[in-house]
Amino acid sequence: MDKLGINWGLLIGQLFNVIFLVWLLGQFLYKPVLNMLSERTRRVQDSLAEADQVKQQLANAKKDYEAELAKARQEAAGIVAQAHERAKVQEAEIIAQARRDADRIREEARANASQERDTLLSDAKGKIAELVTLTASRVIGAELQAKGHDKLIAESLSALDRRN
Amino acid sequence: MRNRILTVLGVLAVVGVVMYFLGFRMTKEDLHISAAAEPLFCIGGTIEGKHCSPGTILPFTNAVLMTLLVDAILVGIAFGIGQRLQMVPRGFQNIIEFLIEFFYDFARGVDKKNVAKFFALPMTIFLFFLFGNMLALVPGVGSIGVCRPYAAEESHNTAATETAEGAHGTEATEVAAEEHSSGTIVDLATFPGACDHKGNIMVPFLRAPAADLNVTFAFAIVAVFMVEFWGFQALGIGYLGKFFINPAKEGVIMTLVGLLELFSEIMRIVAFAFRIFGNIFGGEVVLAVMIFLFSYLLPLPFYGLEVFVAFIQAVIFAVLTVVFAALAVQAHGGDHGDDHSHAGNEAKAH
Repeated sequence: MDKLGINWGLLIGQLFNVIFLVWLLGQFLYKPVLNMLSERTRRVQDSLAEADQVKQQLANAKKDYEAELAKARQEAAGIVAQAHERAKVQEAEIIAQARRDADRIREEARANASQERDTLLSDAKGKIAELVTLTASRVIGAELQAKGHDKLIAESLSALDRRN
Repeated sequence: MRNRILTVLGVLAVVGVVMYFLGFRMTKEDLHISAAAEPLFCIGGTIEGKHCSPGTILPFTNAVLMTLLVDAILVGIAFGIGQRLQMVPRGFQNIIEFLIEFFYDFARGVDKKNVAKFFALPMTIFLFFLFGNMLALVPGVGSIGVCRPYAAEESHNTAATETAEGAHGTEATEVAAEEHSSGTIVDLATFPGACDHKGNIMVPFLRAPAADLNVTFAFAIVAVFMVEFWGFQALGIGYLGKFFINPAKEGVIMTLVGLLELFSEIMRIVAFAFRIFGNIFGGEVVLAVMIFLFSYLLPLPFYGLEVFVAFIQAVIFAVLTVVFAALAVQAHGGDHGDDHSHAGNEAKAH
């Protein structure tokens, strides 16, 4: 025992040392460290779950946003198309109106012109008949018979018409 | 990189050989190997060579000093880190957390249900021996100490364990040693602070705690006692049913097996104590002998080996404690008899 250095006093002292160390380290080192480790595990799990949740929310938000955007785009396209449609209709209406107006104006102008011509022609005819009569009477110098007179006027007028 | 290492090793070898032949080497007289921890002072007594005088109350040995040092480090860790834990670990807290978590996970793997109850003891064993063994490998531990007059006639008691040859202290070897040391250019004994071993002995201030049987026995006794305690706590008086098996029910063979188990439970104290003592003390002896043979480069691989042994022995002591504790609290499992005896144990336990 002596050669191996075993000494009862030392052995008992070391026994107390062991018990003291086990108690002290158990209370002041392992317990707090293990608590800390489990607390950290819990927190990490929580934050991971939270991160997943946030990611999910973000994905949802993005999906919503994209859906909204698509809807808005669709609506905008609808509005534009509608506007196009309306514009086309309006254009056609305007063109048609313009055509109608133009036609009407043209017709009126034509009617006016033909009326004026008719008036002018009839005036001219009257004046020509008078002139023809006057000229003929002067050239011939003789009073023509009433029958022959009328007949001559008609002939002159028809000749005038043909030339015209 | 490899070339550089080889160059450094080669230069060291050459320098080592030169130093060796100059006389920078250990002599037989420097090679003091003592299985017992040497007292630094004696409480209630006086130092007589390597021992305290008879009637000493308590010898304060170098292993005690080292134990107190390791205690101080562990207590410092407990209060410096354990009480100031941070959610985001930093620096040394990482190492301590790693050690504790590493061992906790292992213990939980062995016995998930009772790990909280067991944990403090094996973890303390692991930390204490890990720090103790590793610190013992720091250069200076075991080589820095006091030079003390040592009566030659005392040596016949301790000769066997003191020197490798066992012949230290006789007149013949002293004369031979004198002749031997005078044959070199440099005499280390004349250096300041050196201990000439002619009638003097160098007692190191520090010694690995595991290289003192008082320490290892203390841990072993506590470990085995607690294992038995947990066994009784879990199974009640039925725990004894593991060892005392009725020959009428289970047969004579099982009864003998039970008694063998009981014997092995008791012998665990000795096994625990001598396993770590033998490994650590043996490692120190190997290093000392290697340094004695050739102090340069030769101890290097053994040093690496000792670092590994220092770690593995701490692990083994702690792991075995966990495993024995787990076996003790389980009525089923392990190699304790067959199913019938387990059923009997449980019936007794309830």
